[in-house]
Amino acid sequence: MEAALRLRLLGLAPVVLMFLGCLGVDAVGDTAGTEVPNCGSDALVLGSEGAFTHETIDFEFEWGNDVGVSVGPMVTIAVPSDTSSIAATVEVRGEETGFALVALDDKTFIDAARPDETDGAWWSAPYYHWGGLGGTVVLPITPGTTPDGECLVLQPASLSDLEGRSGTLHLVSRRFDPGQGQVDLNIVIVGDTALYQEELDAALTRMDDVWTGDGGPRVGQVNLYSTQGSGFIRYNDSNELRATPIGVASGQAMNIFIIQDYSDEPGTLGEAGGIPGPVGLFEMDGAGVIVAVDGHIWGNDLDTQTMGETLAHEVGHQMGLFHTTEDDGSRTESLQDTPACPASADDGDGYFSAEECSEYDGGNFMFWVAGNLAQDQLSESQAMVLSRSPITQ
Amino acid sequence: MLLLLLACSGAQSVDGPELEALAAATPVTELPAKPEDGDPLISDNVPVAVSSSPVRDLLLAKDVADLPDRAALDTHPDAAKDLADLATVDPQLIVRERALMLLALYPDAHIGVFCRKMLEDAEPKVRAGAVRCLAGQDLSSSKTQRQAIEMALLDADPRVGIAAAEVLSGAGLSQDKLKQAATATGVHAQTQERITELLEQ
Repeated sequence: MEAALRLRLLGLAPVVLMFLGCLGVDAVGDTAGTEVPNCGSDALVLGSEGAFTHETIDFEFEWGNDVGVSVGPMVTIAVPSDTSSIAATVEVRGEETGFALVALDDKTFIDAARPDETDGAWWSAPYYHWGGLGGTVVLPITPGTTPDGECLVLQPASLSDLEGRSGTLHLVSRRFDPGQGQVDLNIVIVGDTALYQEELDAALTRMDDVWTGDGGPRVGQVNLYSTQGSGFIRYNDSNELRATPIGVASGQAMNIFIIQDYSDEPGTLGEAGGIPGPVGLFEMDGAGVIVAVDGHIWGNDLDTQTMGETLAHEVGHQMGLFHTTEDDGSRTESLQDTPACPASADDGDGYFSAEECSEYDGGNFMFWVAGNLAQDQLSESQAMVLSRSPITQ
Repeated sequence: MLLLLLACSGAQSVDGPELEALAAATPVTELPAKPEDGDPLISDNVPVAVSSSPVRDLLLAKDVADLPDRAALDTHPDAAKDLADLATVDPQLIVRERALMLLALYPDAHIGVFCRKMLEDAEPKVRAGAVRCLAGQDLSSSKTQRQAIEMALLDADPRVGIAAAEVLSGAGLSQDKLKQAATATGVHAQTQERITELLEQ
């Protein structure tokens, strides 16, 4: 690893440290995977003791022939032992980004150079990582990805040919353990969306009940914001909405945008900015969850119970949780203690409903479909992922 | 129940100011308090006839991309009838909308007539679903249905207007009507934006 690629973070965030031009990329990709460098004495030291920290590194992309994506430099980061969680996001406005490599000591979690369908390859366990707007990884996403190592190696990537273009690597970390903790919310009421205070309160109470019932974090402080204009948004404007300037003092909160409805994406309840999406960040691609009020109308009222479960579910995605069972019974979730629905539960239509899976994970808040039963169960590992998120405090 | 709903319905719409450039969000201390309830348009209870339908269970997907396909629906007897019942009487608005969307998987004259009638529903979300239902019908041979969708272009709710534009454009029909609506007064700005996109494709 070239010394020039090892950057030292100099202060609290957001701090743009330096611009890296035309850096070489080491050892990307034979079929055995990428050779992972070690942290030297001059590796970046992550975060600040006892604090939530957001640090940034600007870099330049080059085309990675071996992996077929644009790549940035490998960045080596010394992870202090008191680090409880890390979120890393690659920002190139309007472009799908992600990571070609994520490794912690001798454990490689993501390596775009690995053959398809092997652990660590893109869209394989444990991260099932793929490019997205504001491509993000979070540690931990499973007990096995807990940041208990000493050297984290990240290599930003993009699905687009961005050779010569600059990008920003955001590092969000938390170097204290809040225990079960709480998650503060930045809630933005978009335009003329009709939502009453009692309805919002009831939905957030339900979200809190879902999360805390089995040991997840509480819903913390709620910061309310509003924007001008229409409550209807085009789906293609979702990203622009997530980039809305909020002007918050701290990124240590989850951004939730409440719209009346999508005007061109029928049947939508809500949508996360990724699995995981950017956390601890705002005013950028993918940085928040969007929930549609009209998707939760029951009779003449807002179904605040379902809306609360949608909030818990979509924020769960944003913080790194997958569906416990997908619609066809397959699994893209790596948490061993989360129950899964067996094939025998299906009634023959190939879709696993909550009722069919009620003895297993049909009542889990991350099940793929709502049902006529409460979905307020969390596995111990799901609660851990939520409580260990950098934004939990 | 269907007749009752149709009697109560009308071409109501929701005013939709055009999407403006997203400005900075500003802090607010509290949202408005909820006014007293009006008379419900439909019962708050799921009618017994559809509450136990396995088809209904599949309409509750948290992600719209996970809605069932025709093969899955075909494993359930009377799935199309269940969808029509759900579209008519279910108290959950999104179930009604999704049921109509899935009825597009059933090219059938009777379903075409049903969906055209649902274009008169008071709920814009249901009207939008009804337009998308008609996408599954043979629009080139049904002037009545095609005209109904053309009228939906003018709906003040962008969900209905955009659905109409996408259905007509997808079928390669009514280009002249699309061009007129792209600049007509009273058509929602988001609908016009979408029509312009479709015409440029």
